[in-house]
Order: sequence, then C-alpha cells, then structure tokens
Amino acid sequence: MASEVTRTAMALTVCAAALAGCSEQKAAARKLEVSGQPHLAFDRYRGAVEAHHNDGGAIEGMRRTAGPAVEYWRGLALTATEDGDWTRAAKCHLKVLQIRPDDPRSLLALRKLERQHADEADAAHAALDAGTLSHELLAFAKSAEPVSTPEAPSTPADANEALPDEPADANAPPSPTAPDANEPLTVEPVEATRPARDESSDANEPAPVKPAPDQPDKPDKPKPDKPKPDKTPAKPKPKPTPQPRPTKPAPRRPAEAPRKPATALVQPMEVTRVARSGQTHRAAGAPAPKPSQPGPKRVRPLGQARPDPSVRWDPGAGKGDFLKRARISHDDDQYPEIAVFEGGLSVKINDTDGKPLDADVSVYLGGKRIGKFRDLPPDSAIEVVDSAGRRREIVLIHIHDPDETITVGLRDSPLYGKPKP
Amino acid sequence: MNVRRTAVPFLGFAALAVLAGCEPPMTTPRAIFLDGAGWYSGDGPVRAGLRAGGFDGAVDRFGWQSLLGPLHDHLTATRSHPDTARLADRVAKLRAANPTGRIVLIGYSAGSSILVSALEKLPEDVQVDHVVLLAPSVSSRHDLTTALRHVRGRLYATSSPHDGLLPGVAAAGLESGRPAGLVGFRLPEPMTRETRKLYRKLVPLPWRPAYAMYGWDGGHMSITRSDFIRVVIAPRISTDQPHPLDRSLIGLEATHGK
Repeated sequence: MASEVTRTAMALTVCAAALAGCSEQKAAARKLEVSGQPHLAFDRYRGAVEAHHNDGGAIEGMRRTAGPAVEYWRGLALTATEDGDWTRAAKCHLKVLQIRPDDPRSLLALRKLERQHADEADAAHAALDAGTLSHELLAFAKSAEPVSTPEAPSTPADANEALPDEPADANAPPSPTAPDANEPLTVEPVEATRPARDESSDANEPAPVKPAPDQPDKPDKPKPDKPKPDKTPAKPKPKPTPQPRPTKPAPRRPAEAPRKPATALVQPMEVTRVARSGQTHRAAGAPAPKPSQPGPKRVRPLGQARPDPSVRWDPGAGKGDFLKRARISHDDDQYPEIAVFEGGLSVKINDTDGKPLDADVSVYLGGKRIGKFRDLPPDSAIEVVDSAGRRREIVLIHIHDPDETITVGLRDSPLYGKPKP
Repeated sequence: MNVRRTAVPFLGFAALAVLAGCEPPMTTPRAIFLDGAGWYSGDGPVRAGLRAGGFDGAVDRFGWQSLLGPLHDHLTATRSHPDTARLADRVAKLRAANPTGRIVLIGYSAGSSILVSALEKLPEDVQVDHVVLLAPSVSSRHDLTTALRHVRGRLYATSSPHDGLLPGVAAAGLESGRPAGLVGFRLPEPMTRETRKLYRKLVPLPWRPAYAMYGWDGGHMSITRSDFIRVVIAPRISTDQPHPLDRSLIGLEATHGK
C-alpha cells in the first residue's frame, strides 16, 4: 500500500514537473514573441508541443509565429544565397520546410540547390539527419542578433516614440563635417529583429542557371570596381554582426559619386554614424538631447506584430501610379514638413544632402514613429504596413536639395499586391 | 397501359444509369482512398485536402467495411478479405486504361491493411505511382517487399507515438508485431539486395510537432484533417520528386545505425 502511494506521488510529481516545464517553455516563448523574435518563439512553442502534443496554447503559439518565423529563415536563406554560402542557404530553406512543408519557394530553391550545389545541399541534409539543423541555425541566428546602440531602441515599445516626443536632433542641421561616403546608410526601424526581405518572385532563387564565368558561385556579388564601404580602413568601427539582407543590392546611379552601397538595404538597428563617432548631428552649443527614460514598456498585443519597414531602390519606382503624392519641405514654408497619408501613415522630412543627392525621413504610423531612414536616394521605396494591415510603399519621388524639399508618394506594395478581401 | 408505356423506358434508363454509375471512371490522375475500420469516414477531409494541396485528379473512396462495426473490420482486414482482390482488380483495370497516368492509393488505419494486401495481389507488371498509409494498423513487422514491387514512386507511412487508439489493439488481422502507425515499419530480416532496393521506396513520416499546426496532433483520428493532407501529403504525391525533408527507411537506418 505504501509503495503504491509512493508510486502515485512520484507519478504526480513527474507530471507536475513536466507541466511546469511546459508552461515555463510557453512563457519563454511568449516573451520572445512579444519581444519580436518569432523565430525563437516558434522553436520554444514547438518544444512545448513536443512535450505535450495536444497543448492548445502552444499549438496556437506555433500558428501565430510560423509566418514571421518562415520569413525570418527565408531572409537568412537569401542572405546566405547572396553570400554564396549554399550550405547555410540550404539549411535555412530546410528550416522553412520544417515549419511549412509545402512552402513552394523553399521547395523550389532546395531542389535547385540540390541540382547545382549538390555537395553543399548534402551537407545541409546531413545536419538535418543528425538532428543538429535547428541547433546550428539557432546558434547562427543568435550570432546574427542586432547590436544594440544608444540610439537604437531596445524593444519595439521603446522605439514607438510618439511624434511630439521625438528627440530634438531629428531636425537639427547636419554635422559640419561632410558625412563619410563610405559609411553605410543607417536606418532605425523599430521591431527590427527580422531580416529585411525582398519577396519578389525570383527573390528566393538560390543561384542563376548560368553563373558569371569569373564568379561562378557568387553571381550577385557587387562588382569589384565599386567601393566596398564596410571595409574602409580609415574608420575602425565595431564589426556589425551578419544581418540578413534582401537579394538584390542597390544599384548605383552611374553619374554620381560613389554611393553608399547599402542604399536599398535595411540594416535593422545597425550601429549608426552618431553612435559610432560619439557625436550627434546637433549644432555646437545646443543642449544635449535628454536620454530616454526607462519607463514602463508599451507592448503591442500579440497577433498584431507588423513587419519592419524595409527599403529597396528601384530605378522606376518614382514613375508609377500613386494613391497620393505630397511635397514636403524642411526649409520652404509653403510646404508642410509632414505628409499625412491614408491608413495612419505619415512621412516627415528630416534633412537632405546635395552630394550625393539623398534625404533623411521618418515614417510614422498612427503618430508613432516606425522607422527613421537616412540617406535615401530618389526612387527609394519604403515598404510599410498601414493601420489596416495593407502593405504599402512610400516612394521618394523627387529631392530638391537647395530648399530641402522632397516629393513622396504612397501606393500599394507591388511586391505583395492587394490584400485578399 | 399508358403508365406502363411510360414506366418501362424510364426504368430501363434508370437501370442503365445505375449500371453506368457503378462502373467507376477510368481516368487519371486518380487517388483511391480507403477508410479505416467502422463507420467513421475521413474521405471528405482527405479529398478536400488533396484538392487544396494541388492534386489535380479525382479522389475515389473505396468502400470495404462491413456494417458489423470497427472491431470486426479491424480483425478481418487481412489478405483473405474479399475486397483486397476487388481493389487489385480495380487498380489493374485503371492502369491498363492509363499506362502512364498517375495513380495514388491512400489507406487509413485498417484500410491500409486492405491496401497493402491488394498491392500484393496485383499482377506482376502493374504498378501504382505512390502509396500513402495514414496511421496504418498493419503490423510494423509486415514484410512489404511484395507490395513495394508494385510501387513506382514511394510508399509513405505515418507513425505517431501519441496515437491513442493503436496501443489498445493488435495489428490488423492479428498479425504479430505492434501496429506500424505507432512505431513505424521495421526492416525485414534477412535483407537481400532486392529487398534493400525496394525498401528505399519506403519513406517514414513520423509525427512532428509542426504538424500540430495543420491539425494532426499525433492522434489517430486527426491525421485525416484536410490541412495536414494539404500541407504534408498533397505535395508529396503530386510530383515524382522527393520532398527535401524525406529520408527512406534505408537511408535513416544507415544514418542512425539502427
């Protein structure tokens, strides 16, 4: 009898421990989900389902985070493809398929990889067979976490500054020293833990069928005659961790001075010029901006996570049809400084530069700043999601530097099309 | 008299229509689905899932159950079941009418036992393209060598340790060994070169937590959810190319040294 009681008690203890472990895993997953790391959250939820196969909450969590997690891994796959790292690309695509087994783009990409880079694809499969795929990729994803900076918000809520609370330096005149042309563009989106992506139809192709003869495996690499600003020796800077990037690097306009190559790329929470140099754009003598006070974090409710705004450069972007166009100016009083679009979106001009011709803008959604973009050339398209969940593009159509005036237009995102009714 | 004149042709047409309806169409691509034992029918969700997943052919339901209940059906789902020959005959005729058309057989639970037995009874030169065994109650020790000879592509077999029904029953037809839907198929012994080659077509589909998102939480009944069929099964039977995540049982044995 005593042994039976002992056995029952032990069984109950084991069950309780398992349940506690499961709920702990779910809590951790929820935390990751709220903090904008759906790819990590998905794996936690999956672990919870593995422990309790009919845990409705964890299954629901998986469903919620599956889409963003797929986009995250696909973004890494695109980066790896760009870098010519076929093994990692194959691993990332396998990860996508583990989440969404019928994902057509990853299926296609993997089959192409298996045909064109069989050894690398086999290496990825070996990791899958050995059961180390998730571990390896998560380790990689961890190493690819963005570097936090004084300017960069640590959480989505921190970054969702209300319009009136925007730091004063946003409109301050530029630094007297000319901006280093070799510095990467800085974009300060909020919720920036997922990679920026280019979901054009061929964006997921791992490799062209006929690679260039001189670079057979790396056809998308920038041409050697173009400067590579990340390798500028004059200004040592903290090496940013690898960030997923869209497939196509920004093309450069031939008539201009060497531009910053990452024009079309969103480098979420990248170390900014200000943060690196320890200076601000504020004029000498102006009061320093108040450091942000650690207040109660505002957390966006679950299920309402929006993708990060991302930028691409498209030579024909400014010539399309727009739902609305607006001219805004920093110096010319006849134009407003902020363009208000439908769907709660608005754009504010911060600055323009003449050589090279570019502009700094901030994008707001419902009065909250969702992204701050610097050094955007004309024809830059900022992809955003408006308050109704529609994917839109804000296109920088024209820049007139003498009076710091720009023309911006709003349109449905051509990459995604119109939402289903 | 008038009534008779009207009724006779009408009945004649009706009889012809019934007979024509009884003769199943012979077009491909075609999937033939065999339900499990008893009265439960999963063909609706399976059909919906296959269609949503891009399978562009017709999906037939092959009825084999009696009205005597699930236990009776489960125990009689053996090689000697009369419907195994009927299914083999149907597949042979379908293949004769469509030498290159895609034919897929899907068996659920005890229906998988009927399916495997029918494959074993097919004429030597007749092959189907793919076979899917959903939560099969066939014994895990069943030698699939003969059945695999009649599979041109792959034979997918799901398994789940969370199946709540199979642990409580013996394998279909009281064959020795645990049901394959619980533990997966085992390699036969001794293995000849031909057996090894044939077993390369056997692809296990063990339950994964991600499948819970698509409705299959590892349970016996939920495997026929249309989302799971759409996302996991349809892409595998709609093409001849192997799915990148799949490994044959032989490949897995080689990797893990089991």
